[in-house]
Amino acid sequence: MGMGTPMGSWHVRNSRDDAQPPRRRNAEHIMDRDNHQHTDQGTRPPQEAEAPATESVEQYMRIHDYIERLREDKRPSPPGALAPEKVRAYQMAALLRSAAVDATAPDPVFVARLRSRIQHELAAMASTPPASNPLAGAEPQRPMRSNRAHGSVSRRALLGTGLGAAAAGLAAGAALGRSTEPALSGLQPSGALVPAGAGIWVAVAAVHDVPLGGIKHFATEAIVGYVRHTPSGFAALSGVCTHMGCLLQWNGAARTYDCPCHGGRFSEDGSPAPSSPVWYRPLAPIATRVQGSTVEVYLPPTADPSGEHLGATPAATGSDTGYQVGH
Amino acid sequence: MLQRSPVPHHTPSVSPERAVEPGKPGEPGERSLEQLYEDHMVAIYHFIYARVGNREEAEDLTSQVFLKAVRGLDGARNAASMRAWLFQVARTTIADHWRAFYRMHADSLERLCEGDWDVSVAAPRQSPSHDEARVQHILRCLPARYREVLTYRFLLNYSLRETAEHMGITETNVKVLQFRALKKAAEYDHAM
Repeated sequence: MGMGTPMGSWHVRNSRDDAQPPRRRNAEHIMDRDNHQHTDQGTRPPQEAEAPATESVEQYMRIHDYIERLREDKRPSPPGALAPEKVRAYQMAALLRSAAVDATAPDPVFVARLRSRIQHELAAMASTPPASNPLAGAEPQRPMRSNRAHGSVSRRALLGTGLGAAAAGLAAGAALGRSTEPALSGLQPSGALVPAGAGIWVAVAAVHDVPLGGIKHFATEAIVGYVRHTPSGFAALSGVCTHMGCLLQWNGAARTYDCPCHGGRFSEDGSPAPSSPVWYRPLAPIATRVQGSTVEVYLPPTADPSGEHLGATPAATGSDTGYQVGH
Repeated sequence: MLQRSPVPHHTPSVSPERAVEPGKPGEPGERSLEQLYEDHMVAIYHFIYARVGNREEAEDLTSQVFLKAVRGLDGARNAASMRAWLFQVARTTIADHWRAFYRMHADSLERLCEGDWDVSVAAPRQSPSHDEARVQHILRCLPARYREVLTYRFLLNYSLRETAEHMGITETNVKVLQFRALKKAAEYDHAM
């Protein structure tokens, strides 16, 4: 497969966007034709280098615009009605985009904001009977358990978990507070409580220091972790065991992070290792990006030791997450 | 600047010796939605991101999934079935999104989703790494020139100009090449 496009002879005739009026007309019935097995595969002679009849400049441009939006990590405009295999090409672009160097962990600000929305919803539901269930029928529903009654979870339950650590105290004062607290009643879905950029990006490694497949330990004033170079880019993980907060050691032979305290082990990607005697929560991912030749990780605001505007929150979250918070 | 409430008192109301050790696979236990969020949010986000390819939509749809989950959760499943259920919610959410985005009929969308969906149902734990493996496999299968253009444009996030320079072709050629490479890659993926 794919031999229809030999490297050496590859070129396009559509070298200008306005060069192909006849092909534009073709675009109109491309849809119909593409619904059948499309024509440019198999029937095309190996040396054929012209644009196949099923292609048009519009299509090149449409998918190009789509790609450019993805590269900005922004919502693309719908490309309009497409034949199924064209849709697959767009979906392929989305899949490949997810492997980009700068598409990694969810934004900690978003993570914290959604968490507070969920708490808000749960609190609201706790005061209304669960009569209309939009998902009823999707799966057999069991009766509500009484433990739903306390819809707003304790801070410890939230903060003591791995992901809580990743977003450590982003919005700690507001978003991680109990949803029954007055501050949250004013929370809008778009939630402006935590401005993007409230945290800081900190360089933790040079790109060339972490070859593909490599792992490097890092420690900032606020957090310790490991930065990995995966086939899909750089990714950083908290280096703190999700059990009791001990510092993990990278075990190069087994390729696991080992906890010296209770023997917990985590796989390279932070998930609990199959060999772990106890199955702890996955390690918290840390937002990572590449800036020039350095790899940076995102430190949420409370992890910023100089963030005096955050008051006492670092201590409060730090004790729960196991992060070492500087003072 | 920040509207922050006073820092709440740090009073754990759940005793450390909770009845169920969270995160043990396959073990029945009570898992609150908050735990579900902490445990699976990243996986769901990655799952969705790999299907929309941008942060804005990934955040929107991830929010939708968990807000649906808030209303649909019955709180009495074991960890494995909760995860599977959550991914099911994610799949229907993405399907709805695609239907609108690509203006597709439900049945053609279903055909389009089949392969992808099955894999995810079979191995929900693996979904993020499954997508990584998918990308690697697809790239390996492609002719070198296609692999090259997709690597520059997507994995390395090069601009059109940078890609053209590295490949020694015109920017217009890159546009055509990336189109064909994506189409070919989609064929491989579909056939997988």
